[in-house]
Amino acid sequence: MIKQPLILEVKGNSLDDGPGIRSVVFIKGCPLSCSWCHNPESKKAIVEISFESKTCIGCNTCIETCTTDALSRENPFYIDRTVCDLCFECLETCPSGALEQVGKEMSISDLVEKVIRDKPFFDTSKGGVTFSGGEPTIKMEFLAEAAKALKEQGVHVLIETCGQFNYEIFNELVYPHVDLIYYDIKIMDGDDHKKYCGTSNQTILENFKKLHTQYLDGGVEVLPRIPLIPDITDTEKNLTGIVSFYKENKVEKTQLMAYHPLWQEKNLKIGVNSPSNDEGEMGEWLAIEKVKECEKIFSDAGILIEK
Amino acid sequence: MRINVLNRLIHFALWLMALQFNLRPSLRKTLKSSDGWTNFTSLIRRLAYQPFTPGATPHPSASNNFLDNMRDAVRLNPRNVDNNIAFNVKLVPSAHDTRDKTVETMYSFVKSYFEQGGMQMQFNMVNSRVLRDAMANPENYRNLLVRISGYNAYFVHLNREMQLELIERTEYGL
Repeated sequence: MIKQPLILEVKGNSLDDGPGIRSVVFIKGCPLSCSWCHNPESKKAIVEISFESKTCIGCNTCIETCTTDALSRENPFYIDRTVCDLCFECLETCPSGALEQVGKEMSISDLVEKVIRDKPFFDTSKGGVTFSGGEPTIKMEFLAEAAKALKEQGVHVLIETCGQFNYEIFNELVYPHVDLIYYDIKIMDGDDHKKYCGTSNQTILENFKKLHTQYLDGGVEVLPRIPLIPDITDTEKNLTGIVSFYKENKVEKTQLMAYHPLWQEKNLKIGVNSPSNDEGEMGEWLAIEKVKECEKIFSDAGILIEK
Repeated sequence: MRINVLNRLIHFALWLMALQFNLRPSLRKTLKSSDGWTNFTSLIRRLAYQPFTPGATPHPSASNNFLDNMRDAVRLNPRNVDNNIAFNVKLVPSAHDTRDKTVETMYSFVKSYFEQGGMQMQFNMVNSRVLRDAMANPENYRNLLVRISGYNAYFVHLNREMQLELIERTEYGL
């Protein structure tokens, strides 16, 4: 029996998660815990409950249904997750869908059936399926089987990863069934990485080196991507450090992802107090001038920025 | 007078169908899947007295994935559609897209649609006017996915400030 991860969502018709028209499978759970994570509901690998106050019609049926008294309008998060036992009775009674279960299991055959319907669009647009999340490699066997099943149907498979995984297992199980890897390079300094992302970056950088060497030898393409987070990753120190890392490993192109503040609402839904909610730069879109500055650092070093 | 009788008859027939739907869970399952014909009758989530969607345009609650709607539209048999099929597809070009990318996406939609047997389609390019309408009437835009530099979001899920910001960005090509 393969261990199943929880799936957050399968989003179709995505134009931003790789080439062409793609369906994105978001897997719940991540070994990292970055302070700026745009999918905070994907950090923990357990089932959670979310509440969207915008959708709530205030009928209070859920409060009456709840057996543990976890729901209260006084609570800014509405749900007291320390007493909630995730029985999801309130979900059944909610008429508006404001309460939702975050993370559901899905068998590989169901998953493939769901995404394969869009295959004609994948074919004409040179798109396919992207595994993202969270971190898709948290359940390596599942990922391998899913990727294999999709490859058998002729679908292009892309994996978006943070790089924190066991290289041998990845190489053996998943690598043969993958067409493209999007690899996040966040912070070069080990201590900063531990502070902002929760783990050391040693494995991440080592894995990247190995994968990129394989790519240069004719293997699967690996594209390093950098999220530009104000004052954390977009500093000159970090970016020049990354440039040196790229040069050492003969990396020729990269992609930069400018920060935007749209994710902070999700924290409220999932019951997390964001450390930097709406404060200063984290509440603003990254300024265009700053993005251009960052791009310049790379183009000056001869590294191509892929849009 | 005749129209009144016809109206009542249709009303009764629809009521019967809705009753069937509610009493038979298996029927509910069939209709709920995007392979069913729910998209065009929109019995389930259309509120009373609201108009049906025009032509073969899918009701926004049918699916939040436009590709499902396209797939349903191609399965219509034009012989049974007397007054032609009018199917709208919303395309959301992001300000960060090159013109090539927008054209390629349109090409993919069109080619796949006609290859699968579709007969007619027309594009709605999402611009700030559409976004403003989505702010005012979110129930009609549940499947509107906006794209901002590498991120997709359902527009109606964003809060007001974000929506206004996005509109401004769309208008000024940011």
